[in-house]
This record gives sequence, C-alpha cells and structure tokens, in this order.
Amino acid sequence: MAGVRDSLGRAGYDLLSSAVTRYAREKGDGALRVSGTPGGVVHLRGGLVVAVASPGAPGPGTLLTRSGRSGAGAAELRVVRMMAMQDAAFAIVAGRVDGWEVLEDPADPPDALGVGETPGRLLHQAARKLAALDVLPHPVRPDRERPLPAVEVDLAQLALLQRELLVHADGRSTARDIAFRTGRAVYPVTVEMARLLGGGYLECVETAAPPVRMPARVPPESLRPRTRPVAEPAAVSTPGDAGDVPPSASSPSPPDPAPELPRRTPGASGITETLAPQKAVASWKGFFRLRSGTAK
Amino acid sequence: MDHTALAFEMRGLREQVAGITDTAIAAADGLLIAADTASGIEPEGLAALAAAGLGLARRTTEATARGALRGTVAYGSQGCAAFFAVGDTALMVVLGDEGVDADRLHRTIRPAIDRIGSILTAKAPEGV
Repeated sequence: MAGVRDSLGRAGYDLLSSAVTRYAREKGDGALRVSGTPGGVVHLRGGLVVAVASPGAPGPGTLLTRSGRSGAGAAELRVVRMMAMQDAAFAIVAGRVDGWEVLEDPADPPDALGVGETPGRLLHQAARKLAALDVLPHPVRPDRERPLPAVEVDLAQLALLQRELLVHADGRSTARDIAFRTGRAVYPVTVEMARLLGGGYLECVETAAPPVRMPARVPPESLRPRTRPVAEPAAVSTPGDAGDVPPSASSPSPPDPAPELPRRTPGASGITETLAPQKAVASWKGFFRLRSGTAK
Repeated sequence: MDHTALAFEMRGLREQVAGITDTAIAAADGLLIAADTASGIEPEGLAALAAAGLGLARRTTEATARGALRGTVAYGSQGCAAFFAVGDTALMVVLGDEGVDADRLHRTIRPAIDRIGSILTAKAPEGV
C-alpha cells in the first residue's frame, strides 16, 4: 500500500520539481500556483523560493500568534518564515499535485524571506520528510486520517505535543486541522500523529454512520408547532408514535417526524409589514439625496 | 428528505476543501435541519445567527439592487463563517479555519448548494 501511495506522490513531486526548477532558471521572479489538494502558491525571487503558501500548512502569522510568540525578533521571524515555507512545501508534496500555472501579476507575499532557498533543495527536503513519514509503522498523511483517542491515558505523563494531539483528536480533525488549531507546523504534528497511532494511543475508526447530527434525534418540541400551519397535520407525529414508520436500515437515528423541509408562510412573522420594504427603500434613497443636496 | 444524501454532501465538503471545519443546514428561519459541527459549537444557535445574518444580507442586496442573495461571509482573525442561501427556503453554514482554501470553497460550494437544495425539496417516500 505504501508503494502505491509512493508512486502517486512521486509523480506529483516530479511534476512540481521540474516546473519550479525550470521557472526559477528561466524567469527567476514570479509565482506559480500549484493546483491539487491542498495545492498552494510558490513565490520566487532571483531564482530562489522566498515564500510558499498553502491551505495545507499554517503560515508564519498563524505559527507566531497561536503559539504565543508574537513578540518575535528579526532573527526569530526569519526562522519562523523559513520553517513555514518548508512546511508548506511539505504539505503540497504530501498531497496531490494536479498541475501548475504561472500567476499573472502576483501580489508580493508579506512574509517573504530576504534570502530564499533553491527550489531543488526545498522540494528535496519536502520529499525526504514524506519518505521519513512513510517508514513509520503507521504512516499517515497530513490531510487524510481523522483519528480518535483509543485509550484513557494520563495526559500528564505525555509530552506537550502528544497531549495537544490527544486533546484535539476528535475523529473530525486531520493533522493539518490540528496544526492550524495549535499553531504548529504540520509536519511535526503529522509525525506525532503517526507515532500515537502506532503506539495505540490514537485509532482511526471507519465512520460508517455519518457524524452528521439531525435534530430529529432531539425532538425540537418548542419549534415544531411553527411548521403545523403549512405541513399536512397527519405527517406531524409525536416521537411516541414512531412505531408506524418502518425502521430505517441505514440510519441509526429515530424516524424523522417531519419528512419535508419545514416551510414558513411568507409574512407569517409579520416582519415584512413591520419593516415595510417599499417605504424603507424610498426613505433610504431620500436620505441619500438629502445628504448630497446639503453637501453642495 | 434523504438524510444519508444530505450527510454525504456535508461531509464531502469538509473532506474536499482544506480548512472547512464545520457545516450546518437550516431552514431560512433558523430552524436547524442538520449539523456536522465540532463539540464546541452549538448548532441551534449557529443556525439562528445564520438566519439573522442572511436576512440582513438579503435586505442589503435588495436595497442596493444586487440581485438574488448568494451568501455572506464573516472573517475573523482565526477563520471565517460563511452563510449561503439554499434557494428561498433554507441556508447553509460553512465554518473555516485560518488556512481555508477560499478559492476552492467558493468553487465547490455552488454545485454543492444546488445539490443540497434538490435534496431538501425532494419529496422522499415515507420512512426514508
């Protein structure tokens, strides 16, 4: 299985690597948009990569503010920017790369490095991180696994990053999501998630039943009467007489008492009369004319 | 209404677009229909806020002759909350974190909203 993922990742990496390297050599300045999941934008200056932005990895701003290092000095700022750039490159390489295009007239990234990194070195590092992830006993991808804590553990005996992962792993969040929430780079979070999965602290549960909550489970007693004037009275039943609806095989939730989307009768609340849109529009225009009239 | 199809659409959005953290669907008056939200978010209150927000945005587009309302987005320092109109009768809430891929969100949301609209208005047989 790792082989299949590897070959897929490799094709994306090769595409990206040749595109960025060639652009850096031939043009030197500009930006490339990498399409794919998560994809991103690679900014170049003088043939060097000075910033990489990706929805798959927290930017320098997130890394600084969320981790409480907002008062960073120039040296630390440079380190954080470099780290964020390498992390975004990793996120792009670890995901799916579909293609790339040259961005016309790109905006200068506010967090560009003064002196960048060669495209070859940057992408090689990203590929190495991905390879390191793949040799772990339970390899994960930053945007794929959504694990849950597997066992009750004493959080106090764990390292800070492990604690944060166990606290934020809710079966909905990927390593990328947790990285954003905690203000950490996505690579270390992904590695730690893989370790915790390997160690049995986290587990990936196949979610056969969607976690989507339908309020039908909690009968909204106070809200239901509002649908009565429009819904057929027969269709509205109390939770008690759910017996005459055949039990659904696919959904574990009790049968929906209102099979149709509740509809409000337009104007039922009286808000339209109260606010009187026609008059309101007229008076708003009048106000505008008055203002421009006095200004002259 | 096909709950499984609705759940599939909502989860699909969260899985396809990096940075979407929660979604919810409600009737236009704020009555919650379905929620795919983390434990820290109260979906009934969110649905009510979305209905109020979209109501104001709809009045604004009317008053300024901007056509039919599509949606409104509130941006915060740690992410955004987008409310989209689903036809005239329903709405959809999409919450994103700081890194949410806004381009992808807007490209993905339009067809998803159309599909959700037809799921909500489809007359399903009893017991589905």
